[in-house]
Amino acid sequence: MRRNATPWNAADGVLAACALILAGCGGGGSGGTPAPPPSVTLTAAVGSVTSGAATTLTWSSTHATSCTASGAWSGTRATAGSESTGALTSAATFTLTCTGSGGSGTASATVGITTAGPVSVQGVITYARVPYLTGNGLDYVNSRQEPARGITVEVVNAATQVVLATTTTDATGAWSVSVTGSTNLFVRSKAEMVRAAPAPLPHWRVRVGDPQAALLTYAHDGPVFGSGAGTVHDVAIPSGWDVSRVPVGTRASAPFAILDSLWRAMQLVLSVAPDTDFPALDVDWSTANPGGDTFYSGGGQPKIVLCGEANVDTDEFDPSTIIHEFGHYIEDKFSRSDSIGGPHGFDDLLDPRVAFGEGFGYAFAAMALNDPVMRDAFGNQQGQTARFSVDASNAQRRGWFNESSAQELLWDFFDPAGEANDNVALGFAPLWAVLTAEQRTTAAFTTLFSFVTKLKERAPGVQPAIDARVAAEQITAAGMDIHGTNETHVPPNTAQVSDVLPVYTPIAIGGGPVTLRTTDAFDPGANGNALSVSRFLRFAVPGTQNVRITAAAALPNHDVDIYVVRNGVIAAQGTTPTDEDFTAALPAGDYVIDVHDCGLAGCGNVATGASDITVTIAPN
Amino acid sequence: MSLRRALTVLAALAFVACTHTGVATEVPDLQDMRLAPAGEKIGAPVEVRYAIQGTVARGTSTPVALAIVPRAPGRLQVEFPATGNVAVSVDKAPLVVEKAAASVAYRYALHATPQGADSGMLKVIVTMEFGDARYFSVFNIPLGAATE
Repeated sequence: MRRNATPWNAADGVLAACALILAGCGGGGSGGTPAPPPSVTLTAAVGSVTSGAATTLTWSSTHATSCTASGAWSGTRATAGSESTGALTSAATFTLTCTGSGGSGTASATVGITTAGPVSVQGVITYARVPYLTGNGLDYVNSRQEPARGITVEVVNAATQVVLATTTTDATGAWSVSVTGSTNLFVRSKAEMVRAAPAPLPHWRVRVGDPQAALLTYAHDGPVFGSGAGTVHDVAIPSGWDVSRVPVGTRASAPFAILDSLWRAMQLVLSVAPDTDFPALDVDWSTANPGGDTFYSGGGQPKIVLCGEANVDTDEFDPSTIIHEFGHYIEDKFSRSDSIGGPHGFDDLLDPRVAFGEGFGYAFAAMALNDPVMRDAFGNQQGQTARFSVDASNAQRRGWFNESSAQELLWDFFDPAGEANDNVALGFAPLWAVLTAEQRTTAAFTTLFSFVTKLKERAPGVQPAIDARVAAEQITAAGMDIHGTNETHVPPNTAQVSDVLPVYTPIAIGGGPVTLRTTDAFDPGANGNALSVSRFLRFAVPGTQNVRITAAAALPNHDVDIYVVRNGVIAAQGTTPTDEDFTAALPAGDYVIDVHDCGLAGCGNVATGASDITVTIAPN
Repeated sequence: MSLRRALTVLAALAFVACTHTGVATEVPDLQDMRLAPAGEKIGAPVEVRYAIQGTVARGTSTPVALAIVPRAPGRLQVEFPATGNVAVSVDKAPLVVEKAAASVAYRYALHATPQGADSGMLKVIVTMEFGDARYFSVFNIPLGAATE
């Protein structure tokens, strides 16, 4: 992988363009040390000539005893030498095969015909994708070239480094531009997808780079060739891995494999919203990105960070992982995510905002790939595969607090009906409609309750089927509203129902104190994003009003924090290191509150055990 | 022993620390061990706790007590990937527990030897299987930041 700013050496480029050095294919003799296979180098002095002109071919070999010319020349040749091509009037490919006791080796050089006027230059760009083995790990033996779809292609003057033409590959990886003849060129494949004005909608800009290396966009430069007419210049971007699972060169295809997964995900959105204007998205991937640390960040420039650490966790060939993170971007930029993020494991009891956000990410990946099985390669030599199905998990603690329930519900709303408790088959359009409208502006926090409630309203004909499917996840479907007011389910072994329910506790301005219990009982990993670490309240402001809000822990010296939220926007907050007492001018509307106890050491920590917090809202 | 397990053990043995201290170490109480942070991918439902029981220095083997506590019952597998920054020897297997129980601490005694100029990061990959489903988490233990 070359970086954009790296100067191209023209002489090296010509050599790279005109020579292929191939190891011999023959095997060794029996017994003793086998003879090494011949290697052959064949170069043309220039990559293209004007019609009727000639250039010089030069070749050499090792471990060879004889050579034979074929293609645009023929006959026996010495194992090293040079000679003129003779006058050329059309593009010609010269091939030399040299043979020795260790087998044979072949090299070729192509000389194009330059023309003074514009010529069409075209080709297909492919990248190496390493698929999964049926069992565990990545299948480096069966790495395959796939079209690089929608990427930026630059045709560059090899001598001056000036970009002569820019275009975009189509859905087959093909591209074509017109450039001035008589020029030595190379094709630069950029790890970005751009469609912008003046082109009509849809628009997007996605790029893969390495910010730690100040690299905005990876690029791969192909070999130099002459701009002769009539030749096709395909580029095959290699994976950089060999069949023994060892990186043997730059992992050049990784950024393009990542882009292609995102291309697939964008097609799902475009299938229901063809005029979508995707906000610019950066993807941070490098071989130095540590394993396990994959995430989406929506603050500032939206960014997806993917792992590249060999022998620990590489993400580039994990479409479901990549699209899961893109799902977070979709939720953030087209809908709304109130998720607080953080670590999460299978069957964990999560804050319902986290459960919905994480569940949506994997359900979205399954929809984009049309495959409910999520896969993620990891471990020594990428020899293992994590996998689970968003269609049927083994979750034991289902409910509105479990991401498995969220992902399975969303997938079942989307996929064909016909499974147990699944008689819903809505496709993506109504899910997208709710995401981009009601869920974006919901007065509640973004959870399964806010989403399912509005989906039922948009699909009244299938309400009973939705209710049946929701009920199978141990979630109260009948009478569901965006706040989960009628919810009765709590996790197994919950000490007191009031540790979990109601999902939102009503509070009124001037209505007296309300006491809630937060607990770390569902948060053994002290991640701070588990069920009941935060508790929720809800209240209405009938007209713009000044209020005084207090939040106090029953335990001494604890740090209570409180956020007052209206339609996803923080309207007021109290985040001092102790109890909270503040005033705010609140416009009319429906509000929700997140209140939690940061424990003794400030936020970033979770209170140990249970903590009772008393909240008041008074006119001021 | 399955082929996979044999390979895992061999991989661990291939990184035997070069200078064991040989100092006998105590098994620390769980509550005295630090929680290792996990990444944000959906992962194996486990807590990983650790205690570094010696002075960390480049080329010197340091005892590390590790406890892995599943939050759900399932098949448990522990792996110490070859990253080149830290050599690891495992004084005690099993690296695979076919029927790990929830809330039980599976303890491992390691020796970690930083190979680079900085103290390095001990990486632990924990895999849990539940029927056909398999989840993994990568835990990063900073050897330099937690000397006790």
